[in-house]
Amino acid sequence: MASSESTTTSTTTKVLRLKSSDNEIFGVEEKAALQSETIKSLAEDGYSEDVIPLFNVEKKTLAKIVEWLNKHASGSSKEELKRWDADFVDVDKDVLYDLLLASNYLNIEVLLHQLAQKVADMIKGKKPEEIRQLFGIKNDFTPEEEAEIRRENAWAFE
Amino acid sequence: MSSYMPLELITKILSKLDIQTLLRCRSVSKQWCSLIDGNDFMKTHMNQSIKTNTNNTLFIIYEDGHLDLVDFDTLCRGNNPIFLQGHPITRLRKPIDLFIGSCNGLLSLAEEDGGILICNPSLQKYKHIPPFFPYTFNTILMFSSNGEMVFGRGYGFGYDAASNDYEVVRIVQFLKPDAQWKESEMTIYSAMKHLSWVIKMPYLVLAKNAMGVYLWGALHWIVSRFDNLTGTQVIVGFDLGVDEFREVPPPDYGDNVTSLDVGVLGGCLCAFAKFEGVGVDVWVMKEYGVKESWSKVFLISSSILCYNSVRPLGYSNEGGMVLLELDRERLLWYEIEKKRVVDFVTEGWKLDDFDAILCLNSLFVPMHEHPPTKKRKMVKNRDTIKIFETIKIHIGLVNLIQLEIEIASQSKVLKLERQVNYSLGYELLLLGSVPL
Repeated sequence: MASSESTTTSTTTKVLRLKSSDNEIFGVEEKAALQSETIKSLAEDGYSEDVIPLFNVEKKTLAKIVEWLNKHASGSSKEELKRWDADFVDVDKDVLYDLLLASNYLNIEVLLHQLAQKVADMIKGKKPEEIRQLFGIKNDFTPEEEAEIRRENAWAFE
Repeated sequence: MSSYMPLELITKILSKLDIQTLLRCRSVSKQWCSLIDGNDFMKTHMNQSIKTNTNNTLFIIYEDGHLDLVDFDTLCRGNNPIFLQGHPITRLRKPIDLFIGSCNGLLSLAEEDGGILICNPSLQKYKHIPPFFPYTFNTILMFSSNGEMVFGRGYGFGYDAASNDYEVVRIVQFLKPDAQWKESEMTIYSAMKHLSWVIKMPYLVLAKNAMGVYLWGALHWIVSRFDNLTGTQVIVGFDLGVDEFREVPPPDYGDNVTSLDVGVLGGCLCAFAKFEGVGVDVWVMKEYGVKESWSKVFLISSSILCYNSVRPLGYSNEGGMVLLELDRERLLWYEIEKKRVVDFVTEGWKLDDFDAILCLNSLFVPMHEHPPTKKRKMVKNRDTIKIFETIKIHIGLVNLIQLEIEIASQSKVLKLERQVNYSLGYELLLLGSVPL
């Protein structure tokens, strides 16, 4: 009896198949997957029966994203999600960067906000040269220009 | 992280930062610098702060004119106030009387002698305006030459998006010797044009010295209509863009409201409707100007809170508490869920006869150093047309010249005043009003 009930549940829960850029397919419950606006509009465009191709997301990143989608559709308590999210974004900067790009492409507003907040927190208290290093940005100011900009708000560098 | 991060993502990340970090970020690269200096980013950053109730500083002026700054974000986390020591604004030359208002992260302060300061405290940028209003901001009562009593009743500070200008206003009301109200008038000062003009106000402001509540380009007060002074109190908004008073449709408070106060909470207009001996209903207008969008968000029983006047300063970060200033002598959090009041108590901090205001930490600069040539937005209405004239005045070694032009238009009188500084040629925009 119990097993037939669970069968009924699994047939009524629709699973969407998401394909990463390197051709790995992930099955995700529709409710979880539709947290992504991009997947939502692709599904509405008739992709929902086939595989939904996500050309911009590699499998290692998509696996993480799917993990996030499932967790956020699992009905966990607010406190538990808060703790879980804090762990989720606690990754090295390259993973963080991939996740940021992917959540931007997949248009998952809540995740994007969490990731952006994480990067913002990493910037706080850092010197400009450390921020450049974090983002892999080349300093394109001449020493005179940089000194001038610092002088404009010298107190902010104290 | 790679340098190929799209600009929209960089914007998203940077919009979550505090001002000091952003000023440091300006020296990261040319791209970051021009992004942060851009008008779009300033707005995005401000909207993000409003949305999350973050990046705020609480300013307090004490009776002796000295100022305190409190980091609002730490206050929201239930911690004791952290005073931001040594900020240049606490070492101003002249004593400060009161806060005129705050908008877009700019704070306007009235000096004892009537001078005005407009500043962005988080950028540490200041603009000083010498005294020019006929009455200083703390004046509550004086006598005019013809025996009328002049009541200083309200003031405010706001942004006029149509002209990209900041304006300071001052309301005075005249009481005739026979104790009948004669009229109210509002003096408006344009910070960019260094120009002031006076308009009649068909309303009576009820509070003694009421700070206008700035929202959606307008300053709001609780008033009575001049033609029906004993009638219902209304919320009126003065639109700084078109210089017009507009009544805001009120919520259905119900009968027996003993007093009304207006404020801003979470970026929306809010109204505190007090029922003596019962409590206060707090209403929020979700969509500005739409009567149906008023909703009662919480109520405070009079057994927990009693006051004559209240000013809501803002929600906490998480939105569960609201910061209230009562009768200029009490500052407290009201916890909405728990329905309880938490007073500010910290050793050595005495609150008594003070003025408090919450100011956003933003990137907006006090104003253009060189006034743009863009003219004031034209206003068309059936009865009057407003015209612009440019008059060039070249003054030699005259120290102060007062220019007063009165153009009568039906019952309205537009008075233009200008105090012109010496030796410069000025372009003066005169806004007149003539009958069709």
